[in-house]
Amino acid sequence: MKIVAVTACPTGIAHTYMAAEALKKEAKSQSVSIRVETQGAMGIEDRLTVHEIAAADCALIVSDIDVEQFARFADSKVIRVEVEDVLVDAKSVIKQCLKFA
Amino acid sequence: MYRSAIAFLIDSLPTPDVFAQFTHLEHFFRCKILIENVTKKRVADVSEKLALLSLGLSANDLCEISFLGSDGELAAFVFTTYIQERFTPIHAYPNRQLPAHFSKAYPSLIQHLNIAHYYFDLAVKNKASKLDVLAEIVSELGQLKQVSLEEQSLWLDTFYVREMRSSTAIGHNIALPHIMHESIEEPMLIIAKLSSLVDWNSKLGQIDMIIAIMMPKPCKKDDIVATVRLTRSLLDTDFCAKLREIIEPEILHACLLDKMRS
Repeated sequence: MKIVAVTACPTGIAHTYMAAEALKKEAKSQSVSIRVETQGAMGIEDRLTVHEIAAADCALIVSDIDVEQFARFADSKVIRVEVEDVLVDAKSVIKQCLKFA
Repeated sequence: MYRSAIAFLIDSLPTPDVFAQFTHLEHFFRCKILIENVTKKRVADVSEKLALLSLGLSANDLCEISFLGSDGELAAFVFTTYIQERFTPIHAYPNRQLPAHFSKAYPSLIQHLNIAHYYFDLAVKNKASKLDVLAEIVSELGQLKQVSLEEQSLWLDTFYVREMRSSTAIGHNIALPHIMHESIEEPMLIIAKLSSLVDWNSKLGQIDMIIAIMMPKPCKKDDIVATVRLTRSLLDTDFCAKLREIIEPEILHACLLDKMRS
Protein backbone atom coordinates (compact mmCIF):
# COMPACT_ATOMS: atom_id res chain seq x y z
CA MET A 1 0.00 0.00 0.00
CA LYS A 2 1.44 3.35 -1.04
CA ILE A 3 -0.15 6.68 -0.26
CA VAL A 4 0.84 10.09 -1.56
CA ALA A 5 -0.52 13.03 0.39
CA VAL A 6 -0.62 16.79 0.20
CA THR A 7 -1.27 18.94 3.26
CA ALA A 8 -2.19 22.63 3.12
CA CYS A 9 -3.94 25.22 5.27
CA PRO A 10 -4.86 28.90 4.88
CA THR A 11 -1.90 30.46 6.72
CA GLY A 12 0.61 27.69 6.20
CA ILE A 13 2.60 27.94 9.40
CA ALA A 14 0.84 25.45 11.64
CA HIS A 15 -1.78 22.97 10.46
CA THR A 16 -0.03 22.11 7.18
CA TYR A 17 2.94 20.77 9.10
CA MET A 18 0.98 19.35 12.02
CA ALA A 19 -1.18 17.32 9.64
CA ALA A 20 1.89 16.09 7.74
CA GLU A 21 3.54 14.98 10.96
CA ALA A 22 0.39 13.27 12.24
CA LEU A 23 -0.05 11.38 8.96
CA LYS A 24 3.55 10.16 8.87
CA LYS A 25 3.35 9.02 12.47
CA GLU A 26 0.09 7.15 11.98
CA ALA A 27 1.16 5.57 8.66
CA LYS A 28 4.32 4.32 10.33
CA SER A 29 2.36 2.73 13.15
CA GLN A 30 0.12 0.98 10.60
CA SER A 31 3.18 -0.03 8.47
CA VAL A 32 1.84 1.90 5.50
CA SER A 33 4.15 3.68 3.05
CA ILE A 34 3.37 7.39 2.75
CA ARG A 35 4.97 10.40 1.07
CA VAL A 36 3.70 13.76 2.18
CA GLU A 37 4.09 17.03 0.28
CA THR A 38 3.51 20.18 2.32
CA GLN A 39 2.16 23.36 0.77
CA GLY A 40 2.73 25.96 3.47
CA ALA A 41 4.31 29.36 4.04
CA MET A 42 7.66 27.94 2.93
CA GLY A 43 6.17 26.97 -0.44
CA ILE A 44 5.92 23.42 -1.72
CA GLU A 45 8.28 21.11 0.16
CA ASP A 46 8.96 17.40 -0.35
CA ARG A 47 7.30 17.78 -3.73
CA LEU A 48 5.69 14.60 -5.04
CA THR A 49 7.08 13.43 -8.36
CA VAL A 50 4.86 12.31 -11.22
CA HIS A 51 6.34 8.85 -10.81
CA GLU A 52 5.44 8.71 -7.10
CA ILE A 53 1.88 9.85 -7.81
CA ALA A 54 1.47 7.26 -10.56
CA ALA A 55 2.83 4.47 -8.35
CA ALA A 56 0.57 5.29 -5.38
CA ASP A 57 -2.64 3.43 -4.59
CA CYS A 58 -4.34 6.65 -3.64
CA ALA A 59 -3.78 10.38 -3.22
CA LEU A 60 -4.84 11.92 0.07
CA ILE A 61 -5.54 15.65 0.02
CA VAL A 62 -5.62 17.12 3.52
CA SER A 63 -6.60 20.73 3.16
CA ASP A 64 -9.02 23.49 4.04
CA ILE A 65 -8.12 25.38 0.85
CA ASP A 66 -7.51 24.53 -2.82
CA VAL A 67 -4.17 22.83 -3.21
CA GLU A 68 -1.67 23.92 -5.83
CA GLN A 69 -1.09 21.83 -8.92
CA PHE A 70 -4.06 19.59 -8.26
CA ALA A 71 -4.09 18.56 -11.94
CA ARG A 72 -1.25 16.15 -11.12
CA PHE A 73 -3.79 13.88 -9.45
CA ALA A 74 -6.17 13.66 -12.43
CA ASP A 75 -5.55 9.92 -12.82
CA SER A 76 -5.33 9.15 -9.08
CA LYS A 77 -7.93 7.82 -6.71
CA VAL A 78 -8.30 10.94 -4.58
CA ILE A 79 -9.52 11.14 -0.99
CA ARG A 80 -10.16 14.61 0.39
CA VAL A 81 -10.34 15.36 4.09
CA GLU A 82 -10.09 18.47 6.23
CA VAL A 83 -7.04 19.14 8.39
CA GLU A 84 -9.14 18.73 11.52
CA ASP A 85 -10.06 15.17 10.46
CA VAL A 86 -6.38 14.24 10.62
CA LEU A 87 -5.81 15.98 13.94
CA VAL A 88 -8.90 14.33 15.44
CA ASP A 89 -8.38 10.82 14.11
CA ALA A 90 -5.46 10.17 11.77
CA LYS A 91 -6.00 6.44 12.23
CA SER A 92 -9.40 6.53 10.51
CA VAL A 93 -8.05 8.68 7.69
CA ILE A 94 -5.29 6.17 6.93
CA LYS A 95 -7.81 3.32 7.18
CA GLN A 96 -9.99 5.12 4.65
CA CYS A 97 -6.99 5.10 2.28
CA LEU A 98 -6.41 1.39 2.86
CA LYS A 99 -9.71 0.64 1.12
CA PHE A 100 -7.88 1.40 -2.13
CA ALA A 101 -5.19 -1.19 -1.51
CA MET B 1 -2.34 22.43 47.52
CA TYR B 2 0.70 24.68 47.05
CA ARG B 3 2.48 24.28 43.72
CA SER B 4 5.24 26.38 42.26
CA ALA B 5 8.10 25.90 39.87
CA ILE B 6 11.40 27.41 38.82
CA ALA B 7 12.71 27.02 35.29
CA PHE B 8 16.42 27.24 34.64
CA LEU B 9 18.99 26.59 31.98
CA ILE B 10 21.95 24.29 32.39
CA ASP B 11 25.20 26.20 31.81
CA SER B 12 27.48 23.20 31.95
CA LEU B 13 27.21 19.59 33.02
CA PRO B 14 26.36 19.51 36.76
CA THR B 15 28.74 17.56 38.97
CA PRO B 16 27.38 14.68 41.10
CA ASP B 17 27.65 16.81 44.25
CA VAL B 18 24.94 19.09 42.87
CA PHE B 19 22.54 16.15 42.79
CA ALA B 20 23.67 15.08 46.25
CA GLN B 21 22.90 18.57 47.52
CA PHE B 22 19.44 18.53 45.91
CA THR B 23 18.65 15.25 47.65
CA HIS B 24 20.08 16.52 50.94
CA LEU B 25 17.95 19.71 50.81
CA GLU B 26 14.82 17.77 49.93
CA HIS B 27 14.89 15.95 53.30
CA PHE B 28 14.09 19.20 55.12
CA PHE B 29 10.73 19.78 53.46
CA ARG B 30 7.38 18.05 53.50
CA CYS B 31 6.65 18.33 49.83
CA LYS B 32 7.22 16.51 46.58
CA ILE B 33 10.04 17.99 44.54
CA LEU B 34 10.45 16.98 40.91
CA ILE B 35 13.02 18.02 38.33
CA GLU B 36 12.07 17.84 34.68
CA ASN B 37 14.49 18.10 31.80
CA VAL B 38 12.00 19.85 29.54
CA THR B 39 14.28 19.66 26.52
CA LYS B 40 14.74 15.89 26.80
CA LYS B 41 11.32 15.14 28.30
CA ARG B 42 12.62 13.28 31.38
CA VAL B 43 11.40 13.66 34.95
CA ALA B 44 12.99 12.60 38.23
CA ASP B 45 12.07 12.79 41.88
CA VAL B 46 14.71 14.80 43.74
CA SER B 47 14.69 12.27 46.58
CA GLU B 48 16.16 9.62 44.26
CA LYS B 49 19.82 10.24 43.41
CA LEU B 50 19.97 7.62 40.66
CA ALA B 51 16.83 8.95 39.02
CA LEU B 52 18.48 12.39 38.90
CA LEU B 53 21.32 10.92 36.85
CA SER B 54 18.77 9.58 34.36
CA LEU B 55 17.76 13.16 33.50
CA GLY B 56 20.68 13.20 31.05
CA LEU B 57 21.38 16.87 31.69
CA SER B 58 23.68 18.61 29.24
CA ALA B 59 24.59 22.18 28.40
CA ASN B 60 21.71 24.38 27.19
CA ASP B 61 18.97 22.02 28.42
CA LEU B 62 15.90 23.74 29.80
CA CYS B 63 14.82 22.33 33.17
CA GLU B 64 12.05 22.92 35.63
CA ILE B 65 12.00 22.10 39.31
CA SER B 66 8.53 21.95 40.86
CA PHE B 67 7.32 21.88 44.45
CA LEU B 68 4.04 20.34 45.51
CA GLY B 69 2.87 20.18 49.10
CA SER B 70 2.57 22.02 52.40
CA ASP B 71 6.25 23.06 52.62
CA GLY B 72 6.39 23.90 48.92
CA GLU B 73 6.67 27.66 49.36
CA LEU B 74 9.56 27.40 51.78
CA ALA B 75 11.28 24.77 49.66
CA ALA B 76 10.89 26.94 46.55
CA PHE B 77 12.53 29.83 48.42
CA VAL B 78 15.53 27.76 49.50
CA PHE B 79 15.94 26.01 46.14
CA THR B 80 15.70 29.31 44.24
CA THR B 81 18.77 30.55 46.09
CA TYR B 82 20.60 27.28 45.45
CA ILE B 83 19.69 27.26 41.74
CA GLN B 84 20.66 30.91 41.28
CA GLU B 85 24.15 30.07 42.54
CA ARG B 86 24.64 27.24 40.05
CA PHE B 87 22.35 27.71 37.06
CA THR B 88 20.59 30.47 35.13
CA PRO B 89 16.96 30.84 36.21
CA ILE B 90 14.59 31.69 33.38
CA HIS B 91 12.85 34.42 35.35
CA ALA B 92 16.04 36.39 34.79
CA TYR B 93 14.51 37.62 31.55
CA PRO B 94 11.21 39.34 32.30
CA ASN B 95 10.22 41.88 29.65
CA ARG B 96 13.00 40.67 27.38
CA GLN B 97 15.63 42.53 29.42
CA LEU B 98 18.27 39.88 29.11
CA PRO B 99 21.53 40.02 31.03
CA ALA B 100 24.55 40.23 28.72
CA HIS B 101 26.08 36.94 29.90
CA PHE B 102 22.82 35.20 29.11
CA SER B 103 22.91 36.31 25.47
CA LYS B 104 26.47 35.09 25.08
CA ALA B 105 25.77 31.72 26.65
CA TYR B 106 22.62 30.90 24.73
CA PRO B 107 22.74 32.55 21.32
CA SER B 108 20.28 30.10 19.76
CA LEU B 109 17.75 30.46 22.53
CA ILE B 110 18.12 34.21 22.59
CA GLN B 111 17.34 34.39 18.91
CA HIS B 112 13.91 33.01 19.72
CA LEU B 113 13.49 34.71 23.07
CA ASN B 114 13.60 37.85 21.01
CA ILE B 115 10.38 36.80 19.40
CA ALA B 116 8.10 39.16 21.29
CA HIS B 117 5.97 37.21 23.73
CA TYR B 118 2.94 38.25 25.74
CA TYR B 119 0.73 36.67 28.35
CA PHE B 120 -2.84 37.53 29.28
CA ASP B 121 -5.24 36.15 31.86
CA LEU B 122 -8.65 36.82 30.38
CA ALA B 123 -11.91 36.87 32.29
CA VAL B 124 -14.37 35.40 29.85
CA LYS B 125 -18.07 36.17 30.11
CA ASN B 126 -20.63 33.41 30.12
CA LYS B 127 -21.25 32.10 26.58
CA ALA B 128 -18.47 34.25 25.11
CA SER B 129 -17.83 33.48 21.46
CA LYS B 130 -14.61 32.82 19.59
CA LEU B 131 -14.83 36.33 18.14
CA ASP B 132 -15.23 37.87 21.63
CA VAL B 133 -12.07 36.13 22.81
CA LEU B 134 -10.02 37.04 19.75
CA ALA B 135 -11.21 40.65 20.04
CA GLU B 136 -10.17 40.72 23.68
CA ILE B 137 -6.68 39.40 22.88
CA VAL B 138 -6.18 41.85 20.02
CA SER B 139 -7.40 44.71 22.19
CA GLU B 140 -5.06 43.80 25.10
CA LEU B 141 -2.15 43.44 22.71
CA GLY B 142 -3.07 46.64 20.88
CA GLN B 143 -3.05 48.62 24.12
CA LEU B 144 0.27 47.14 25.20
CA LYS B 145 1.94 47.84 21.88
CA GLN B 146 0.08 51.12 21.37
CA VAL B 147 -1.24 50.04 18.01
CA SER B 148 -3.99 52.05 16.28
CA LEU B 149 -7.60 50.83 16.35
CA GLU B 150 -7.51 50.46 12.56
CA GLU B 151 -4.58 48.11 12.81
CA GLN B 152 -6.23 46.16 15.64
CA SER B 153 -9.30 45.82 13.46
CA LEU B 154 -7.17 44.44 10.61
CA TRP B 155 -5.59 41.86 12.91
CA LEU B 156 -8.95 40.79 14.28
CA ASP B 157 -10.40 40.43 10.76
CA THR B 158 -7.43 38.30 9.71
CA PHE B 159 -7.76 36.06 12.77
CA TYR B 160 -11.48 35.71 12.21
CA VAL B 161 -11.25 34.98 8.48
CA ARG B 162 -8.74 32.24 9.28
CA GLU B 163 -11.05 30.77 11.91
CA MET B 164 -13.98 30.84 9.47
CA ARG B 165 -12.01 28.55 7.15
CA SER B 166 -11.46 25.96 9.86
CA SER B 167 -11.11 25.86 13.59
CA THR B 168 -7.63 26.20 15.09
CA ALA B 169 -8.41 24.12 18.17
CA ILE B 170 -5.80 21.40 18.60
CA GLY B 171 -7.19 19.42 21.54
CA HIS B 172 -6.23 19.50 25.23
CA ASN B 173 -8.51 22.58 25.46
CA ILE B 174 -5.89 24.56 23.52
CA ALA B 175 -6.43 26.71 20.42
CA LEU B 176 -3.69 27.85 18.09
CA PRO B 177 -4.95 30.90 16.19
CA HIS B 178 -2.27 32.17 13.83
CA ILE B 179 -2.01 34.85 11.18
CA MET B 180 0.45 36.46 8.81
CA HIS B 181 -0.19 40.07 7.88
CA GLU B 182 1.65 42.96 6.22
CA SER B 183 0.88 45.27 9.17
CA ILE B 184 2.63 43.00 11.69
CA GLU B 185 6.16 44.25 12.19
CA GLU B 186 7.70 41.42 14.20
CA PRO B 187 6.82 37.82 15.08
CA MET B 188 4.74 37.60 18.24
CA LEU B 189 3.80 34.70 20.49
CA ILE B 190 0.81 35.32 22.72
CA ILE B 191 -0.44 33.05 25.45
CA ALA B 192 -3.85 33.67 26.95
CA LYS B 193 -5.53 31.70 29.70
CA LEU B 194 -9.31 32.01 29.81
CA SER B 195 -11.37 31.96 32.98
CA SER B 196 -13.79 29.42 31.48
CA LEU B 197 -14.22 27.11 28.51
CA VAL B 198 -15.20 28.64 25.17
CA ASP B 199 -16.68 26.89 22.14
CA TRP B 200 -14.08 27.00 19.33
CA ASN B 201 -16.27 25.24 16.76
CA SER B 202 -14.16 22.14 16.79
CA LYS B 203 -14.60 18.39 17.07
CA LEU B 204 -11.62 18.61 19.41
CA GLY B 205 -13.73 20.26 22.07
CA GLN B 206 -13.88 23.60 23.86
CA ILE B 207 -10.80 25.62 24.80
CA ASP B 208 -9.54 27.67 27.72
CA MET B 209 -5.95 28.26 26.64
CA ILE B 210 -4.73 30.10 23.57
CA ILE B 211 -1.32 30.03 21.96
CA ALA B 212 -1.57 32.69 19.28
CA ILE B 213 1.10 33.33 16.66
CA MET B 214 1.32 36.54 14.65
CA MET B 215 3.86 36.80 11.86
CA PRO B 216 4.81 39.56 9.44
CA LYS B 217 4.11 39.02 5.76
CA PRO B 218 6.50 38.36 4.11
CA CYS B 219 8.27 36.53 6.90
CA LYS B 220 11.87 35.39 7.39
CA LYS B 221 12.30 31.70 6.63
CA ASP B 222 14.09 31.15 9.98
CA ASP B 223 11.06 32.49 11.84
CA ILE B 224 8.72 30.20 9.90
CA VAL B 225 10.97 27.21 10.60
CA ALA B 226 11.00 28.05 14.32
CA THR B 227 7.23 28.40 14.35
CA VAL B 228 6.76 25.10 12.56
CA ARG B 229 8.98 23.40 15.16
CA LEU B 230 6.69 24.77 17.84
CA THR B 231 3.43 23.87 16.12
CA ARG B 232 4.65 20.33 15.37
CA SER B 233 5.57 19.87 19.02
CA LEU B 234 1.96 20.64 19.93
CA LEU B 235 1.01 17.25 18.44
CA ASP B 236 2.80 15.70 21.38
CA THR B 237 0.17 14.79 23.96
CA ASP B 238 2.68 14.79 26.83
CA PHE B 239 3.94 18.24 25.89
CA CYS B 240 0.40 19.67 25.76
CA ALA B 241 -0.40 18.07 29.12
CA LYS B 242 2.76 19.66 30.49
CA LEU B 243 1.76 23.09 29.18
CA ARG B 244 -1.59 22.82 30.91
CA GLU B 245 0.07 22.13 34.26
CA ILE B 246 2.33 25.19 34.16
CA ILE B 247 1.16 28.18 36.15
CA GLU B 248 3.96 30.69 35.70
CA PRO B 249 3.87 32.65 32.40
CA GLU B 250 7.69 32.79 32.21
CA ILE B 251 7.94 29.03 32.31
CA LEU B 252 5.20 28.63 29.72
CA HIS B 253 7.05 30.94 27.38
CA ALA B 254 10.35 29.23 28.09
CA CYS B 255 8.84 25.83 27.21
CA LEU B 256 7.37 27.11 23.96
CA LEU B 257 10.50 29.01 22.97
CA ASP B 258 12.60 25.97 23.82
CA LYS B 259 10.61 24.02 21.20
CA MET B 260 11.29 26.73 18.65
CA ARG B 261 15.03 26.30 18.90
CA SER B 262 15.34 22.51 18.88
